[in-house]
Amino acid sequence: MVTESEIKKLAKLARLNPSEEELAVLTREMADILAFADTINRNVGEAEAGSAHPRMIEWEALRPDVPAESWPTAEILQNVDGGVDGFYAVQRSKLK
Amino acid sequence: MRDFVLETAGKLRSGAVTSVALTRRYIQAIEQKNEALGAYVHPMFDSALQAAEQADERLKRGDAPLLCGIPMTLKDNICTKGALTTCCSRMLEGYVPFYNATVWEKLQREGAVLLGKTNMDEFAMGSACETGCYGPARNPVDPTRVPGGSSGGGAAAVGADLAVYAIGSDTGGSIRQPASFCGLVGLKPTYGAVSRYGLIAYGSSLDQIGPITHSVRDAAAVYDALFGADSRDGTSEQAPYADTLSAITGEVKGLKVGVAKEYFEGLSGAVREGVETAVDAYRKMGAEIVSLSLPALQLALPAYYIIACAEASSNLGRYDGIRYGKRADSYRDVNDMIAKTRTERFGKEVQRRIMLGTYVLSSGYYDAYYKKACALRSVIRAQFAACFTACDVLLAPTAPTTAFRLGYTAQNPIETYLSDVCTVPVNVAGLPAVSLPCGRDPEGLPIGMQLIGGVFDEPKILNAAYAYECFAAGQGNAEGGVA
Repeated sequence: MVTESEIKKLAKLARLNPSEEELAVLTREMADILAFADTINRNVGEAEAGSAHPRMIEWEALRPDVPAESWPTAEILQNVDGGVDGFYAVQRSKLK
Repeated sequence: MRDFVLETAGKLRSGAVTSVALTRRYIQAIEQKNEALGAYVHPMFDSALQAAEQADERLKRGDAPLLCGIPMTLKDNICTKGALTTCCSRMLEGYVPFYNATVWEKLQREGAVLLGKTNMDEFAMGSACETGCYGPARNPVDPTRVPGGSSGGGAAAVGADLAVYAIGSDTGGSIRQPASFCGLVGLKPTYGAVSRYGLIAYGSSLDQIGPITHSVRDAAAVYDALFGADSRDGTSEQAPYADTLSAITGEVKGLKVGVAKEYFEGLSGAVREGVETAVDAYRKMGAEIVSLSLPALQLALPAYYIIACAEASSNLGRYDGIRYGKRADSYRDVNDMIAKTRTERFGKEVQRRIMLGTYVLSSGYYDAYYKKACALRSVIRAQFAACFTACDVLLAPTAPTTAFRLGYTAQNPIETYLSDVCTVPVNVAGLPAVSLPCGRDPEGLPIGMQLIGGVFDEPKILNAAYAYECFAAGQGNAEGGVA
């Protein structure tokens, strides 16, 4: 059974910051979801861990590593409010 | 069943209609119907008309490919250079990619006319097209119902004749289930058959791009344009090209159609009846019905959610307000900024799946969940492979029910996840499957069935699907039912 403190720790790992109210709901929902996910542990007998590779389709060889032109800086900077001297400007943050 | 894509291509070639005139007609229809339907989230009318003009010039020259000048849509998670691509998430509000997805590049070369980007569940996480930040899409058959998800906007657009065809993505049924709910055809290709470059990732080992159309031959025509290896997607396969559309004859005499009993557990009465009637139809067409068992199917759903959420938690880690994502307005420090950005801008369903993914990948639980789910994936693949030594295609329902009411899914996450039970095994195994209509329930809602094949068996499943489509039409029911 997953506890609220575990969910709090998990949220920190996932870099999420739910409110206390949301945390209670999440704890309840996660308990249900994990009980459901746990069905694989109750039935997985023939699928012993380590017997398989997660990749689905084997490919014979990786493609050659061919250097290519990088994207034009001007085009990349179109996605931000404005660049400074050809760089992406990040707002200064004060660290504790 | 009308071949909208092929018919439109014929009309454009014969000069019976121009692409510009056709595009204007679609734009007018979208302006009239979209507010009620919520199919489009980013209309692109100006660029569509420009593309239509260029298509008309190519058509006049006589060197136009099959899809040239045909108005269509892309799901909002497929990158389009210079045009909004937001995954229907507040996280990607205002995001304009500076590159095109390979599928869109291919369709642009064909001369496709993009009418706009369509609604979806946020980051493709959902089965109802209700979790996106622009509000829900509605089912054109019955607007009080969901169109299915996550590619619900594309299915709603095609179903309401607001586009000739739509391109969606299918991670756990997101093309097939909306196609089923809206009475359309949806093809989830073999993993690796279509490039995922430029598809905003959810579950990278499961995601695949494919078409939603009115007919099987239309799906084959669009699939032929999308198919092919891509050096920018290391998981795309160098499979030999087969002209799928030409391979479709509708002949299924002697074809072995497998029916796995596990697919028929927990179905609504109407769905069971619809799919069993389709099985009878194949028998009448001269196919051999083979009864099979796929015991691992019962575990495909939890395995899918473990793998998909694990991959999602990793893929969505980049949305921190620095590398990607619209940053929170106010924050104390960099850690607070990242947490606030992610908490404020991801929807509840996305946060829930990130949490589950983080849990199953965390120390102490990795072996118990993720590693076992991956092992189980091999078992599921092996069982499918064993099935295909006994049959040519598998026939199964696409969804256990017909389209549910709007708002229904929000109450219980597990119940929502269970609606994917018939579609996810195919994604876990990387196989192709096509969903097509097989009748209506007593409320007039479409029922869908899917035909599943081995790796790169798209011509085989589409041929079997076309045979059923012709048989149903011969019985006087263009919507697929033969009852």
